[in-house]
Amino acid sequence: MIRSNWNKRGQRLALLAATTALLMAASMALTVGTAVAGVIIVKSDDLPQYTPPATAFRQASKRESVEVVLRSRLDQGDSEFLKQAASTMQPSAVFALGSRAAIAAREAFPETPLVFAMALGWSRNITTDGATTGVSVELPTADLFVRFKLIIPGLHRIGLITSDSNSDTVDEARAAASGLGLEILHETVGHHDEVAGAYRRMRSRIDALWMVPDPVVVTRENFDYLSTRCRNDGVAFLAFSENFVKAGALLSVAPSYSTMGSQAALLVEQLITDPNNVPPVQSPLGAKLVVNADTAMALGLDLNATTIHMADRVITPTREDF
Amino acid sequence: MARASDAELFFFSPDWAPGNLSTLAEAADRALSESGLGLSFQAFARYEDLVGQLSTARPALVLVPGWVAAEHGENLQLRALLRPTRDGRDTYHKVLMTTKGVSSLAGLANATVAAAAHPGSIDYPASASGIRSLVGDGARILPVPKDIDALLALSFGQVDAALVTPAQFEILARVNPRGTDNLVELGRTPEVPLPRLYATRYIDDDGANRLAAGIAKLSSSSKGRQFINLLGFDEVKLLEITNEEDHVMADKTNRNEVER
Repeated sequence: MIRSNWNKRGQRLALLAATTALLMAASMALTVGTAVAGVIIVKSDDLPQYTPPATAFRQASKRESVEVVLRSRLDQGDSEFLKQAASTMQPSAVFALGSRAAIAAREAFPETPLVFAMALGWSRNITTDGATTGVSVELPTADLFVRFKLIIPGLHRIGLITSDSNSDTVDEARAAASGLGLEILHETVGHHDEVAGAYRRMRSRIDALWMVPDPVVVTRENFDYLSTRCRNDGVAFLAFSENFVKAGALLSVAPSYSTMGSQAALLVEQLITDPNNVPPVQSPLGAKLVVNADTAMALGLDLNATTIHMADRVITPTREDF
Repeated sequence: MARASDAELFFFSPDWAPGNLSTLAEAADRALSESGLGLSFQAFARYEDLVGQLSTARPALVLVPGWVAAEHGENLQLRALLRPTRDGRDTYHKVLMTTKGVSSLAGLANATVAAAAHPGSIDYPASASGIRSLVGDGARILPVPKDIDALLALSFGQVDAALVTPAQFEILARVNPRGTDNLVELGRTPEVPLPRLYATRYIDDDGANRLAAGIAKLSSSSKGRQFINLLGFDEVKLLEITNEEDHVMADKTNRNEVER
């Protein structure tokens, strides 16, 4: 049994544009004109980040699969082309990578079990009526905080700077922190120019600053400022992307795209074998941890063998990864 | 016969899942380049890929579990050279953790069990012997990158059980005692030998011994130690072989352990 904290909410959006269409990108062992049962893997676009979950899905699933990539064209809608591309198939399930793929797949195959992944804001875009479930993109906040504590054993107070639009994130952070003996110090900003001041007000009271994806807060200037100041102040700067770690943040934790594919393979099996018992949308269960050894050293953190084992990548003082 | 100066080392270990094989390969390149051994490294996530390459390539060395050595020992004329250790031991086991509400293995008959493994290798003998012997064929095995991922999934109620090393559970329990209070050990796998380094028929004994000695010394440098750690070991020791029978490491000990 797999459970999730996510609520089923959200509205179906109309197809994003009437000026888009699909191209068949690749197929495996399909014979045109012959009905083939299997799983269709639909990608919203030909993005490299879709490759790990698609590969892991194929490795974990025992079923044959074909792959379809959506690309922009002027003369055909997504679901229309998907129907056409899959006209010789009788898919037993669809694995959709990205919101656009999930929406098109649900329209093209309304009765077919659908599992989605890599869909940002899935709850706003994808209806989970019927045999539809998936893997969300966001790691649970409590999961993140435990991983922070594994690398920073002395972590107690986490600073968080957000705009008004991120109040949900703050609420989730406070709820997660309370169960882990952590405290959240929060500052709200209305403009990116206010970030530096917000940091200065909290810096003497925090062990770490957690930067979340907030377009008001995360600008190049703010990142450079916070990265430098955190280092000077002995504050651990916690980011959400490996690129920020390369640029000086202490660490980033992001979902493992491969694991999403493995989760999706299990969900597909569950939907096919028991379509009336639809599992809820899951959180991603694996994470990629990247640590900047240079920053860790500056903060006096011990990067021992245990830490290294937990990290997927450690960026060394010489700027070389290992 | 491969020259020791351009030899290749194949690595496959489905029970040990470094998050990113390309990271492992990068670490290997740096460590082996620094060592001057003239050895290149190739890691495999899937057993099929390893087997495919073994039929066409000519690796001088392979670092593989005992069951793989048993499978290919005769054809490749494998000779054991190095014995890696972790926490001072050359075997390991994993524990099956679940929540207090589950009191027997029968309660996990249709459960989802998270375990560190590569997505395509979860059903291979070593992994299967650990998991399937405990939870049976009905359980759904979810491969995750690392033990900590499996434990967090269990502690947050997203899976029914997690197969992990005891050390990883202790680390998590120190950091998050409240989150692990409800977790209990329901069973443990047999002791499984760590992978060992074997020379193949594509390299002579002198060349193989020179490479083995060099690899055993890797831990003396920072880059070498990082590489050894990423392989899942603390150190590697030269095997003291006393007779030819011991030398052939398609050994029954390893095979018996994983087939138990």
